[in-house]
Amino acid sequence: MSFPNPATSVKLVLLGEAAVGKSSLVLRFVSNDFQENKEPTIGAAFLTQKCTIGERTIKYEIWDTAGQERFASLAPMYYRNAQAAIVVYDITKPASFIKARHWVKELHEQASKDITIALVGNKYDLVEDDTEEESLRKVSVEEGKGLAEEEGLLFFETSAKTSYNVNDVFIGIGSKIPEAASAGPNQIHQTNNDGRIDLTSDPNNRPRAAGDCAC
Amino acid sequence: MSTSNDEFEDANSHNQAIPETVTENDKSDNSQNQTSDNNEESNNQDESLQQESDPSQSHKQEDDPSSQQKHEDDKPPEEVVEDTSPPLSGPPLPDRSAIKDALKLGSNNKENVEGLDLMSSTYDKQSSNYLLESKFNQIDRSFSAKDSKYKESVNSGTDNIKKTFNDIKNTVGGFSDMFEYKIDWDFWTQIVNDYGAVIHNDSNKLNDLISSGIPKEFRGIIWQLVSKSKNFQLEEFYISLKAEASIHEKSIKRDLSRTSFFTNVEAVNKGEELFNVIKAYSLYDPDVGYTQGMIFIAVPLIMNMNDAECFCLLVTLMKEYRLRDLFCPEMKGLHLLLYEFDRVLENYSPLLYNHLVKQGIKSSMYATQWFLTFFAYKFPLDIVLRIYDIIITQGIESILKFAVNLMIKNEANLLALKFDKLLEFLKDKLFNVYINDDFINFNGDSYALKSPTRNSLTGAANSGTCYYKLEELVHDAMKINVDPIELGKYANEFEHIYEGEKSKTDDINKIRIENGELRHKIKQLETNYANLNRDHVGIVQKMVDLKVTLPEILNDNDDLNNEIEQLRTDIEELESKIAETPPSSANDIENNIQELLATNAQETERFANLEDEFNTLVAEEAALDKELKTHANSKWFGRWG
Repeated sequence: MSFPNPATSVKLVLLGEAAVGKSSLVLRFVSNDFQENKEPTIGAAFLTQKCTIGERTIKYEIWDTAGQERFASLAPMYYRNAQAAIVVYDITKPASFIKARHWVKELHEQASKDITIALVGNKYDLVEDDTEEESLRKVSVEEGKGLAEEEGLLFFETSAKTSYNVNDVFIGIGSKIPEAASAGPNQIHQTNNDGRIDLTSDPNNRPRAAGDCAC
Repeated sequence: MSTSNDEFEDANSHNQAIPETVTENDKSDNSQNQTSDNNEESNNQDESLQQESDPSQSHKQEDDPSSQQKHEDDKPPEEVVEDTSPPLSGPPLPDRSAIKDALKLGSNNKENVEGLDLMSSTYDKQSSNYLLESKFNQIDRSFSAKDSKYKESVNSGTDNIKKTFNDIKNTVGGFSDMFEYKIDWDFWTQIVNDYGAVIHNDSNKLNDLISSGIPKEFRGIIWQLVSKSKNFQLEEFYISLKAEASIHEKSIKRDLSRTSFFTNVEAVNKGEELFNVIKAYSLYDPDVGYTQGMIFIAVPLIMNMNDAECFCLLVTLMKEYRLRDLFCPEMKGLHLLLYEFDRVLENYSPLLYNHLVKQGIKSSMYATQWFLTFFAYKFPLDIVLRIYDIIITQGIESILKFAVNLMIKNEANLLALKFDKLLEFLKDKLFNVYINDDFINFNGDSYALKSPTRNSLTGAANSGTCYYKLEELVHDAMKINVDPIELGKYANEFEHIYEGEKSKTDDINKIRIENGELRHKIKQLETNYANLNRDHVGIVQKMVDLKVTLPEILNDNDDLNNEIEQLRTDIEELESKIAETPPSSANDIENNIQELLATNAQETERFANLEDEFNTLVAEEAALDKELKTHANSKWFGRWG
């Protein structure tokens, strides 16, 4: 293949309780930056970032929503057409994990059927140096993993502050999204292109995508 | 109706501290309202077109006193009317409550719509004064509707403000030559002394003056005066609320520490006060509690007055300015404002509106933060203060003027952009069209200049040049016509859409629940079916087994039948044999018995004989024995003798 794959657009929405670090995760992913005391999000913020996975380039169109319960009525607009969602909780705040559970339920009920969801326990930096006797951690890895397995989600623990695992979340999501499912303003254009590639010059492309899809 | 504040009244559990009663009696009336056959409703609506020549005589009724208060009215207010006769001075003053009711009553009534159109033709749409006057009337009517205690409390608050103003005037006024801008002390004094009179007699000048910015020296004073917010009773209540604990404290503290609009400006040393105000409000109005965005609203207030005053003004904004509808759980007021924004924008630039729709951009994606924070979320404080000047004097709908103006000013830019770039631009570049040329010339690239975004006011005072062309910005925005009658129509449309959406959502939820129940039933049936299936399989298995064993059994059966047959023949044979044998056999046995008896008799006889013989022999033996003994004795004696 002599041309790079055109970027496929993936609509992604971040959900989770207030102050768990949704905007910080996005800021880390998009600008590789971190701000202590990040401003609360009012309404929602939109950002984009490209991400290369193997031979594929994914352009994430990210909706970073406001976490406060009051804004929940605005959320459906953002997740309705999303192909991926990141549900974030704070591993030092049990209530945020309960909220995450609710979001996962709502997504399963209301979002598109084949949405890829990642469950992310953020603020790993706060428990990194913990001893066994004394830990700020309030949500165990097992609890997170358990929920993820139960609901068929990807699972990560991250730190937007230290950037631990942040890119892995987006790579994980990207490799789980089947190529055909990605959409966006350039969709028609892309489909033609992909079709040609699949049939002729890049036989490796298809099986990989299919394999990812199946897992 | 979306414009009503009824929810507030019902929900406001802390309201007992500031009881309200409708006491007023409208002197004028309103042709629109006469169509109302519902007294309570008509009570609630009032003015429309009428011009008030004497504000003290005709208090227009507030459109949102709570319903229970309406009942307290001893006499149903006479409706305001001012026919269509031309006003004596200035444009007529439409108010949304009247329009709202006219629409409500006349949604199927052509006459009323025509009436509205007629109404809308009676005032000058190019002038923005009508919003100024309309807001004044609304506040005035609302105030007249309160009880005397409340009035007294506000009146003494107002007196207090006037006194403060005079103090400022006396200290600062003397040095006014030192300011880079001139303050028209005389006119401001008039405004402070009798805002109503200025509204009625000199609204154009007032409008110009406010549009060029209320001087920062007494900005807070004017805000409180215009909104009639200062209220000693409420201030006392605030002091008591301040001491109470709120469940929102943690969130408020956390957000305070991360709100740069607050932390970056000089208000930072008012952190404690700001916290108390927000906390007290969350207690005062538990249904709204604390919503992110309130901090942004409160920062410009706390910068211009003390905390108790700030609390009063916040309550007033929430209630009298319907800001509360924006923050309450369903955020219906926000959605209404967004809808109105869409419609006004569509009117002004169908091209831009359609472009946004085509790009899949909804106003809620970018304008939510404008409306919830009065533009404070992303935009600089000095702009925000100017927006506040307008909102407080003209009402919350005036924010649409700023919003729509910014869109129109950036029309060419926006039309050239696609989805993501468009959103980016809308997020923080809208005000760039108003960056002062000086700054652009110096740097060549306006976007490179980011530093003064929050604090350009301070920068302006020092350099003498504002970073933003504020006058132009406000002036342009004021040219945008936000027609109350059109807004009333939009609100009506919105209400229909909202109700429709709501019932749709309700239906969906109902269907979802039903679906859940059905799914549950299906599961049960499936389990039952599985059980039945299992049983069925067992039975089939048994049947197969039985079918396999059946031939064997049949064979056995045949065998057995044969055997039975055989046995039967045997029996028959035997029976026939038995039948054949002679019946004499019984005699034979008798004979045998007789013979045996005879034999027995013989034998018995023989035995008796033998016994006799034996006895004889025994006797013989005994005799012999005796003889033998005697014989032996003699022999013995012979030998020895």
